[in-house]
Amino acid sequence: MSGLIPLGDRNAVVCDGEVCDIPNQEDRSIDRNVSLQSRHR
Amino acid sequence: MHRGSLTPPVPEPIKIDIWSDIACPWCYIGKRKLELGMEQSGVPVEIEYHSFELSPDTPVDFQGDEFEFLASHKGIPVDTAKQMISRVTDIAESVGLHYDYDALQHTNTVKAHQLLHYAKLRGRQLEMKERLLRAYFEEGRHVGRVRDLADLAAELGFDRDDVIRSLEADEHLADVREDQAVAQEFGIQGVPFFVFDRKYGVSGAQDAATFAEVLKQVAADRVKA
Repeated sequence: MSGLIPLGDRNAVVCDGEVCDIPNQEDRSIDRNVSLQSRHR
Repeated sequence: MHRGSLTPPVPEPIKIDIWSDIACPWCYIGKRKLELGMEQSGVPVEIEYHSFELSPDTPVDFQGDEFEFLASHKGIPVDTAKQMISRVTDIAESVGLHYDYDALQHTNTVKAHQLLHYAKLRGRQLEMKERLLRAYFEEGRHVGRVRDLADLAAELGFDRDDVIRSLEADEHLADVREDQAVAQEFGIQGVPFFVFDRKYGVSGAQDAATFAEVLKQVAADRVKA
């Protein structure tokens, strides 16, 4: 995202393309809960 | 004493611009999670939805069900597609949404986006957005054809004939395209995408607690500024 300060969990699910990807919950375990404070610094 | 001087100032609501599509399961789930996060944070907000078409080439009268569509586009067996859809249906249930993929009618959403602009002009965009998402995911209603959209709008009290006139004339197509151009400027590639106070970007169907934390952070930053 250009010009915006990113906040939140980077691995939150999105729809991006002709179909919405629906990942396994296990796939989302890595890099979850990135600290909002640390990302905002 | 001036009575007003004892009243604490009412904080300006935080503006949340949301890019999303109708045919987007995570957009509806993200909407619910944002609403929960708003409740948890207690921070006043003002929401505006913007258009994002995930599948602009889809025909209005798409033939086939969602399972076949997902399987063919991802190059996976239909059974795998069914399992994936079952998972997102379970996640939707966890936030009180009852997705019905057996009834869902996959379609092109550009007219639905125009209807959202029509409703926005009349101060009713949020109601229209909720009605369209519920119609698509829970009720198996068609959200691509002008007359079906006009029926949904009429349920909310809009003038059905005027909605048909507007949609047939593509009255708000330029507004849809403008939203898409801004999304491109922001580098938005997936939805839902949330912009807080035109400064902070949050991508995806975040947990309610994350949304609450973001809102508190943005409100705190305003105080510092």
